[in-house]
Amino acid sequence: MKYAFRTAAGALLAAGVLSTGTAWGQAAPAPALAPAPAPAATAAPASTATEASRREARALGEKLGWEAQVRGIINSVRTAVIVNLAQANQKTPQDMIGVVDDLLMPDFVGEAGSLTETIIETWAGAFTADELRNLRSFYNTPLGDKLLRTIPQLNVQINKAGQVWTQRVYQATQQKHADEFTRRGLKFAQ
Amino acid sequence: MARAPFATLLAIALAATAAAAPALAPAFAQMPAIEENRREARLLADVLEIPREAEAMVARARLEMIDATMKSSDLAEEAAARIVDDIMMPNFRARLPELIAQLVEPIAVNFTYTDLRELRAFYASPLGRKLLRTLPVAQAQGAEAGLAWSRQVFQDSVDRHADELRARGLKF
Repeated sequence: MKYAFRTAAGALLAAGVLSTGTAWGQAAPAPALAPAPAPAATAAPASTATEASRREARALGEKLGWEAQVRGIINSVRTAVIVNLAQANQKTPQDMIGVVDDLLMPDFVGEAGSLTETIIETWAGAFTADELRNLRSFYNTPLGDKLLRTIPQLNVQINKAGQVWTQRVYQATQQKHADEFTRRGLKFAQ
Repeated sequence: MARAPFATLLAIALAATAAAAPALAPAFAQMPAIEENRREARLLADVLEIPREAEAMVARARLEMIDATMKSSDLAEEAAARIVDDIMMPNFRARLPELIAQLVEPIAVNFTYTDLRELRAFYASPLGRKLLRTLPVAQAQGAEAGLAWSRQVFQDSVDRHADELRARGLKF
């Protein structure tokens, strides 16, 4: 059995934790294709953000690359919309590219700024202006910069390490208990 | 099969250490440096709660094994869970320290000893601790906001282009 167990979110572990925000946009949001009311998404409490904290959050976001992450989200949404529309209309994804790119994507690109602002507002409400300034100072140090550069490969390596370990332990356990499984009339998933 | 990536990483790390070491330093002096890195990376991992994450990984693996056992042996969930818990999980739990070590290894090889100490100091500071506390909440809010945003923009866009979409033979 192939245990590609889902470490994508979990194996942020170090990565997500270390990255302090690169997880924004890692999970591509799936668009609702059926007409649906907008969910009460972020049942956010009244924001404690101030103008100063918003300014600092924006500056931190530039350092952490939030705009690029929002573009990543939009690309993921594009793929999801193409696939879902193709399924809903019994067409190939290739057939859907034109209509999605011509009609729908410009709206997503045009609204990208509002998603970035939502992220900024969240951070501006969660941290004080001083804290955000200090975070930016940390990420501007050689170590902070190295951390940001290293996170993507660290994510991949940690994720792979978890998968490889699980696969190996599963196989070892399988071999060790093959007789017991057979005795109980069971089969291992391959 | 698991060895290759780690051997490679280790080789890269050793090469990096060698490059950074003073020219006259004996080559064998690099090994303790890696061990020091591992110790420091482990301390950082504790601050980052990586052991707890490893336990969560094993818990997810358990659920997948139960699911797979149900399918492969045509069992009810309770019976499959009992088999997985009796037979499979003791080995997974016994080897949890090995998993933690494997998860820590990329951290150990990608940073210098000094980097790791400084990172631990940062994450142990009041700001670092607040960051660790806040990040999961911020990530969850960000994911939720991203989902709501994409739904809303999609719906608005479909409404705006309804005629054109129908003209192209599409339905929703």
